[in-house]
Amino acid sequence: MKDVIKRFTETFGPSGYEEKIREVIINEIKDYADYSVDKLGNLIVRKEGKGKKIMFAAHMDEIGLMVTHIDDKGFLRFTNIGGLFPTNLVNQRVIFSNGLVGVIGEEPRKDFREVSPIDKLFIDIGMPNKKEAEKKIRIGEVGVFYRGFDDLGNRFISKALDDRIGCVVLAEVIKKIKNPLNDLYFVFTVQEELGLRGARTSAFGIDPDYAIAIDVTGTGDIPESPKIPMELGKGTCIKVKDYGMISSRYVREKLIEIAERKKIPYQLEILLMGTTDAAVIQLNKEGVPSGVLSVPTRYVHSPSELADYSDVQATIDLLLAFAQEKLD
Amino acid sequence: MFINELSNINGVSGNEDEVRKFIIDKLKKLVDKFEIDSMGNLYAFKKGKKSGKKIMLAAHMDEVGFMVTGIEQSGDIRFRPVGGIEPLTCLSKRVIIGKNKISGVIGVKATHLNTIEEEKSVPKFESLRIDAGFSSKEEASSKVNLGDYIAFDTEYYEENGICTGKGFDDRAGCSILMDIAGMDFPYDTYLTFTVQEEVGLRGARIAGNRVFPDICIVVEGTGAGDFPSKRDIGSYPSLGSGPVITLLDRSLIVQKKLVDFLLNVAKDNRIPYQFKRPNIGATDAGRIHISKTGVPSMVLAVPVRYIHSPCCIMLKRDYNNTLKLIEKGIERIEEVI
Amino acid sequence: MKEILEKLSNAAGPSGFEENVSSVLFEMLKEKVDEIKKDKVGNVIALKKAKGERKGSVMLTAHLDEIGMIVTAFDGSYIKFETLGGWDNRIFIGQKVIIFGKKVLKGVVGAIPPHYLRDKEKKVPSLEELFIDIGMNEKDVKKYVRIGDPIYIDTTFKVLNGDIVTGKALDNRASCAVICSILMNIKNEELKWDVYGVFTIQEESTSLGAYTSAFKIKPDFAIVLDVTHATSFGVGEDRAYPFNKGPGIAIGPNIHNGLFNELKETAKRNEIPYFIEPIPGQTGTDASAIQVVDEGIPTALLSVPIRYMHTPTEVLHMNDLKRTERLIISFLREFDGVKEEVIDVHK
Repeated sequence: MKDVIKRFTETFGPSGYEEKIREVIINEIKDYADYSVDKLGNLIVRKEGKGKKIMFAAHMDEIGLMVTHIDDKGFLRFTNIGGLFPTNLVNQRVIFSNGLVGVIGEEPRKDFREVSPIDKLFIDIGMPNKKEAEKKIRIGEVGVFYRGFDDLGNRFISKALDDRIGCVVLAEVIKKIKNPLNDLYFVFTVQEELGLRGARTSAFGIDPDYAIAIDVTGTGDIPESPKIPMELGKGTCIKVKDYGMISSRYVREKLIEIAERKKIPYQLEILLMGTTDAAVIQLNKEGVPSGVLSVPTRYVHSPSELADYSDVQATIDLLLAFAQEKLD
Repeated sequence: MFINELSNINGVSGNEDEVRKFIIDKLKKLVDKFEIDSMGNLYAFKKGKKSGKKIMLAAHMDEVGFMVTGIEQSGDIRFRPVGGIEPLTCLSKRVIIGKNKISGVIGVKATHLNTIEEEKSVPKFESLRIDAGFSSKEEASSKVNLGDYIAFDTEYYEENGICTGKGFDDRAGCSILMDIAGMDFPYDTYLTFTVQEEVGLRGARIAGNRVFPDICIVVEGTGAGDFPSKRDIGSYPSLGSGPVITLLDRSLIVQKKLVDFLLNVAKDNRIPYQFKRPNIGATDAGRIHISKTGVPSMVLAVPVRYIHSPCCIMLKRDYNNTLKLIEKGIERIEEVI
Repeated sequence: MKEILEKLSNAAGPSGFEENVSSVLFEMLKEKVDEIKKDKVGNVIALKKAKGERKGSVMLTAHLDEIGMIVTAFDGSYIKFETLGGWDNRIFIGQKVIIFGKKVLKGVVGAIPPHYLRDKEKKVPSLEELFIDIGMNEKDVKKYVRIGDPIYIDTTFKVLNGDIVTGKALDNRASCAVICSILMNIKNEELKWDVYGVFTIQEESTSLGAYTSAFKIKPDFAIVLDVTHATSFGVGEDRAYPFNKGPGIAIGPNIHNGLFNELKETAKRNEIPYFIEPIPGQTGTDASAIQVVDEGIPTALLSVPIRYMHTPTEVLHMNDLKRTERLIISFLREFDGVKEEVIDVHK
C-alpha cells in the first residue's frame, strides 16, 4: 500500500487538469475491472453485481494555482484553484504542468505579524525578465505544491492526501473485491475542490441507490486543539455531519453496525468546516441515502498532510465489508 | 447590432418580459421555433445542416436593478438591490419604477447638511430612499406597488465607435446572439436567452437540463479590468484588446482543448483576443456545464467597463470581433463537439 | 388547528433527525388521505386525489425540520455541542434541553452565576465554551450519550393570550399544521387538482428534502409555506410584518408571476386578508430549491409572520394560520391553471 500512496499523492492533478492522475489510477486498476471516462473527466470503474447499486466516490483533484500575470521583472502572479490558505503558501515550492519549478514569495509586509493575502504573493521561477519568463510559461498555466511522500513508520506525510488517500482506498477495494454482491460503481471524481462538480454529473449518470464518499477529515489531537472528536490512529471516521450534509441515518447506522461486528476500529465524525462529494450525490434526482468514511488527517490543504496507515486500512476494511453487505 | 435598443429596455432579474418580447419580435422571421419555460427563459431554435448533435448559445436577458420593498408615510420609497450592486454607485442617480415607468431619484442630502463622518462612510441600502415626488403613502401607493422592479434611468449613446449605456452585461451578449441568428448552423442550435443570471444563475439551471446540448458557448459582457492601478499585477481584460476568453472563473474551469480551440480560431482569422482575469465572477456556463451528465462549455465575452453600475462603456470594434470569433468558431465546431 | 399545532410544535425533529415528527404526521393523516408514505430520504408525502375533472397536480409543501443541536464532544462529565441550523448562540445559556441518546435525557445548558464571574468574563461565550449538564458522572454520560446524538430545547406549547400562542419550532410547524388541517378537511370532490402534501426534511440545512421530493413528484405547480418576521419590540415595519393581517404572498424573481397573481386575486375575491411580501432575490426557503428542479416548476410562497424566529419562544397569531388555510382551500377550488404564452413564428 505504501508505494500506491506514494505514487498517487505525488502525481500532478489540480482541479480541471486531472489527466495525469487519472492515467496513474487507470494503470493501477485496469486489470481488475472495466472502466470508462465521462464528459467531465470522471473515471468510473464498475464491478457488476445483482444487489443494490452503490456509488463510492473519491476525488482525484488536488488544490492548486493558476498563473494570472507575468510582470516586467519575470515574476508570476497567481490565483487559487480550490482552497489555498495564505498561511500555507509563503516560501513553498510549486511545480507546473510542464515540469517548471518555482517558489512562492511575498511582497514585504509593513507588519511582520500579518498574513499576506494571495494577491500580495508571487511566484519566482528564476527568470531575469518578462521576455525570458514568457518563453517558459503563459497565463493560464496551472501548478500544485511540489512536495513528496515521506514514510514515518506508522504514519506518513505527503501533499494531496486530500483526496488521493481516498483514491487509494477505492483502488485497494477494487483490487480485493471478488464476486461482488452489489452493483458497485467506484468513481474517481473531478473538480471536487471547486464545488463537487464531477460528483454531481457522475451521480446523475449512475443513479445509485446508496452512496459513500471517501475523503479526509480534520483531527482534534494537535496541541491546544478545540474539542473535535477525531484522532489519528483511532480508526476510520464515520461521518455524522459536516458543513454540507447530515449523513443518512440508515447508511451511518449500517456502517457502525458492520464495524462493531467485524471489530474494525472506527470513530464518529463531526466536521464544522468543509464537505465532500456525498453532499451533492445525496441530492441526485429522487435522493440518494449517503454517508462518508473519512481518513483522519492533520494539516489538511497544506503541502504536508499527515495520516496513519492503520486508519487507511480500517477505511479499506469497512468499505469492503459494506460493499458486500445486503442492503434494504 | 441591437444593443442600442436592448440597452434602453428595462429588464431587471425576475422581470425580463419586455426584453423577451423585443427579441421575439426581431427574430421571428429568422428562427424555426420559439419556446418559453416556467421561469421565462426564451429558446429560439434553428434547425442545423446536420442532425445528431445540439449546440447551445446562451446570453442572459436580465440586468441588475432594484425592487420596491416599502413605502413610507411621507411617500418616499424603500428599495433593495436585485443582483450585485455597490451602494456607492447608487447615490444621486435617476431610476425608473415599475410598469407605469415612474421617474424617481435616489436622493442624497445636500453636502452642507452632512457631517464629515457621514461623507466618509459607505451608506447601506436600508438608509437610502427613492423620491418620486409623492407627498403621502396613499399617493405613492396609487402609482407604485410593493414588488415593482426599478431600473437605472440611463439612455444609450454611441459616437466614434464608443458605446455607453446601461446593462451591457449582458445585452451585449443578447445582441450578438440576435446578430448571428440568421446564420446557417452546422447542427441544431438553441439560441437561449436566459433569465435571472444576476441573482444566482437561476434560469441557466433549468435551461441546461431542458436543452442538454453537446456543447455550450455562453456570450457575456464581462467586467474590464483596465482601470488606473499602481501595481503591476495585470490590467486585463481591457477595452480595445478584443473578445475575452474565460480560463477559470468562480463557477467554471474551461477544458484545455476548448481554450486551445478558441485560440486557434482567433489566430487563424487574425482576431485579437485576451483572457479573462482568472477566478473573478460567475456565468450561466457555471450551471449549464454541470447539467445532467455534463456539458463541455466555454465563455466568450465583450469587455465592458463599469458593469453593474448606471453607465458602462464598450467599444464597437470589440463587439464586432467577439461576434466574428463566435461565427468562425461555430463554423468549425466539428473540431470540438 | 390549535391542537394540531400543539402536537407538532412539541414533537422533536432537529434537521437530519426528523423521525418523531414524521411519525406524528403519519398518525394524524393516515386515515384522512388517499395515500401517505415516506420517501428514500425521509420526506413525508401525502396525496389527496381530485375526483372528477383533474387538471394536474399541485405540491403543497412545508419543511418539517426545526433547528437543533448535536453532541460533538465530552469534557469530563459535561457535553459539548454544535448547532444544526442558524441560531443566536446567546439564547442557549440557561436553557433546558433534551438529548436523544440511548434514552431520552434531560439537561441544562450551564449558566455560570454572576457571583463566579469577573466583570470582564461577563461577555458572550462562544459556542465552544458552552456545555450541557445532564447531572450524571462521566462514566454514565458516555454510556448513554454518543457523538452525533441530536439535541433540542425542552419546552412545551402554550397559549399566551387568546389567539396568540408560543412554542418551539413554530418555524415551520405552523405551516405543517396548516397543510395538515387542509388535507384533513378538504373533500376530494372539491378538488380540480391532485394535492401532494409534502413535508420536507432538512430545509434548515441543505433543502435536500425539497430538491428530491419535487424531482419525484414533478408537480405542475408548487406552493411553499414558510414563516416570515413579525413586528415586535425593536423590529419595525421597515423589516417585518404585523400580526393578524393574514399570510404574506411573496413576489420576486423566486416566485412565478402567474401564481402570485392568481393567489392575490383569490384572496381578494374571497375577502381574505393578506399582505404582499417583496423578496428581491432568493427567498431562503424550499421555494428556492423547487423553482429550479429539473426543467423548472412554477413556485409560489406563502408566509405566516412569527416573532423571535429561531428561538424556543417563537410567538404567532392563530388567525394568520386560519387565513392561510382559507386562502389555499379557496385557491385549490378555484384555480384553473396559468395561461401559457403563445408565440407566432412567421417564416
